Amino acid sequence: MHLALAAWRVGELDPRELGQVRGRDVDEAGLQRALYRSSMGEIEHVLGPALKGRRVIVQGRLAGAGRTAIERLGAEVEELRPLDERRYIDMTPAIFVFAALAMAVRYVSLGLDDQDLYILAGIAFAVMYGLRPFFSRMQRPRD
Amino acid sequence: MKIATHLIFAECCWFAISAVVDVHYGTVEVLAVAVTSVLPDADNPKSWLGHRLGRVPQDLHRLFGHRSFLHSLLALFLFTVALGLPLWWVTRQPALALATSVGYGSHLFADMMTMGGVQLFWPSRAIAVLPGRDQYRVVSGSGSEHVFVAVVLTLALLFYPVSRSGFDGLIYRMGGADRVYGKVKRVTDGDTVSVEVYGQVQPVRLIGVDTPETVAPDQPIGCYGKQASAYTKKSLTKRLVRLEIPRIGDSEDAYGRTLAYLYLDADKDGSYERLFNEDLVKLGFARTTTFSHAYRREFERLREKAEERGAGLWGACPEATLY
Repeated sequence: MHLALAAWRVGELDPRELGQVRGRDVDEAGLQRALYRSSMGEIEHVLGPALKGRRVIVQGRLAGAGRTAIERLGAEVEELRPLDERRYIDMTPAIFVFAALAMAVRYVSLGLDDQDLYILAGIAFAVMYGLRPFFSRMQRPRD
Repeated sequence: MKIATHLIFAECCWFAISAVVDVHYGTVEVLAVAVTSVLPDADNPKSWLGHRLGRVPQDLHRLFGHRSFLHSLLALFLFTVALGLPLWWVTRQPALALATSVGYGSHLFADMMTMGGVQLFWPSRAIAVLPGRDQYRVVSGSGSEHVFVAVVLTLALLFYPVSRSGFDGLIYRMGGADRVYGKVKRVTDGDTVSVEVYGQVQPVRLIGVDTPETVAPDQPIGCYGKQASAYTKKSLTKRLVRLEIPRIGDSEDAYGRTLAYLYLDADKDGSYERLFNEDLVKLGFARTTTFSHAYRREFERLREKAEERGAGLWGACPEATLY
């Protein structure tokens, strides 16, 4: 829907092709109301010719539903990113890997009949499991 | 991060790791952790180390930049291979090698928790951060670093005693022990005595020590066994003792002997604080056993010292080996 509005602003979309507009002239608010009432299939049908085979240039990164929608309509996405842009690797999932290892070690220690290791792995796993909601919040939001 | 933060964090990591991993450490290892924990900052001319290394930090900074190559897993691997493994080979002990790697690695881990992060997977330029969300990471030199230091210092103080007794020792100590008083009626050999408790005589096997055999029917008399047996006889016969029987683990061995620590009232003040098991190890009359118990690490440290001094069986029996 946002794409359709953006296409209308640059004159790439004829609102009268939408059934909900019923052939009238509409302003942005009217088009928005019509788009809300339209099905996704109809919007794609109207927007498709405007985007198909085109190259969409975005500032920074474009991921998720926005990128999927543009590519689904047959356009190509090009990201404009600065040369010195920093790329981050979030190591928070390593904590979950550690928790999984602690859980595995509990079973290994049962096999080895190692009581100390069993208690230690149990404590480690309990701490990890208890702090799980906090660890989830620690993760880096997607760019 | 400041150099003090790195030092405290490195020692905290070392205490935590040595509590779990079975290594015996001393002052040398603690110093090695401290020294190696500041080495990665050799690529920063403005750091404490950078000011002391002349042109090297400037060259490193020009070649790689700060928090890049020297702060990567590749550098940690190369450092371990170049310094850790030779140290292991020279000292014949893993403690010093592990200490150097832990010290170096702790620096990378600590810097990963700052806003700037580190290029952990260098030559990839991607910056590794932990945690991922910016507001949870430490801002170097700010109040958040002071909070970080306070938390780490508290953890270090908690981990230190655990690292000395070992995690298994901590578990056994937390489990506690039953205390009974009795009189030694007979000494079977260096590590086995018969104690009269509440009118009943029961055989007692001392925990954590193993003196050479003298009475086992299917084994020859072990080197220094007679001396160990004589020492136990001299020290314990007809003496009042306190037995501590741990509540965790088996209270008897396969031969029906009660497993216990044996305390003597050495000062004659009724305190019964002198651990006879420890005396046997300290004077070189006994080896240590490998299974877990409350004082395993303490006994092993004493055994190492006795071995270095050549005390008792370690000096008298050239073929003496550990279990």
